[in-house]
Amino acid sequence: VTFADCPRERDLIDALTTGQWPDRCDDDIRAHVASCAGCADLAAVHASLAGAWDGTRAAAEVPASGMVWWRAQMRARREAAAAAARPIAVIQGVAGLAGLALALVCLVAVSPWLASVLASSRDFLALDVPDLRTMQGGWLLAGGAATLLLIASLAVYVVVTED
Amino acid sequence: MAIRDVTLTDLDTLATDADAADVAFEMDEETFRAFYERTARSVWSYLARLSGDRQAADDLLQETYYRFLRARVRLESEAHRRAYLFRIATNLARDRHRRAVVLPTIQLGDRDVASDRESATADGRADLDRAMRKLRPRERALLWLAYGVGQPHTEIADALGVTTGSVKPLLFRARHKLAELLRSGSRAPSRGTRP
Repeated sequence: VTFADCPRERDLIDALTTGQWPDRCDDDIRAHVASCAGCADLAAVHASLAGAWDGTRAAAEVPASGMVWWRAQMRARREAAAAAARPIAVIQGVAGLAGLALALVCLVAVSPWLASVLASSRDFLALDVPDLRTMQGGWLLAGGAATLLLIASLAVYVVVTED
Repeated sequence: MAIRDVTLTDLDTLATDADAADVAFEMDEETFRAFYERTARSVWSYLARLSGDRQAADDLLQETYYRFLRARVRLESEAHRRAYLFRIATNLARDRHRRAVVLPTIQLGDRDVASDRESATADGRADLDRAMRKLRPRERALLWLAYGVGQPHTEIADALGVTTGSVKPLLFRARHKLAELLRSGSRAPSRGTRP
């Protein structure tokens, strides 16, 4: 269908919205609608749509404005609280992992049984992992690793809070 | 205080404060309530007509106003606010339509059908509902905004994200398509109706 901008469309809309169409409007509008396909479409759909709309609007049961405002406030607060707590959760997770790693390093360093288990696993897996206790500067290396873990967790904290 | 100076205790306090204090929206409560009173029934009817589902309209109404309140945009006039509100509503209804392909066939506004005349009206509305379901979501939105809500073309353009100049031809084609469907008892129109 080809679009045609009808100059009488405004008159017809006025007649439709004021309830003059079809009985109480001018004869020339009725004659025009009979000869104009676009206006005939408009007349056909307007009554159906307007009638259905009025029925729907009359049946509308909307919540009170205060209730909508209150729900929006509650939801916004929840979201703000969740956003504020997000860095804390991340930091707690990183701190927990760092603590776990440190505890493992300490356990390996002080427990002969765990060291032997790890050594047998190392043999079993045929891994050539150096023994920090027998290495020259091994304790220094372990301390360095622990410091690195602490610095990493601090770095994550700074990045997260800046975000 | 720089953001890097914020301690974990401060973050805890912030979380608690967010729980206790009013959240700042672009609009104050009094203005919002007045705006809501003017627009809510139209927005609900629009959502109900687009979704074909009262329950969905209830949910989408709350979501529409929440997103409207949370929007960080300055809306100078009532017309801009209304257009923005209907834009949010249109997008929400469109997203819902994408998720749920089949629209339910709930008759809206025909709860208390008693007399023959009312039955005839209900039949007419059932025909309209069937015909509307054969239109594209944008065509439905266009027709309800124009002939239900009664928005001017500039607001329809804002609400649908199209240019003002394109509203008239789009409306013309949607109208023709619907008229053909209504005339032919909801049979698909034969030609040239795709916008």
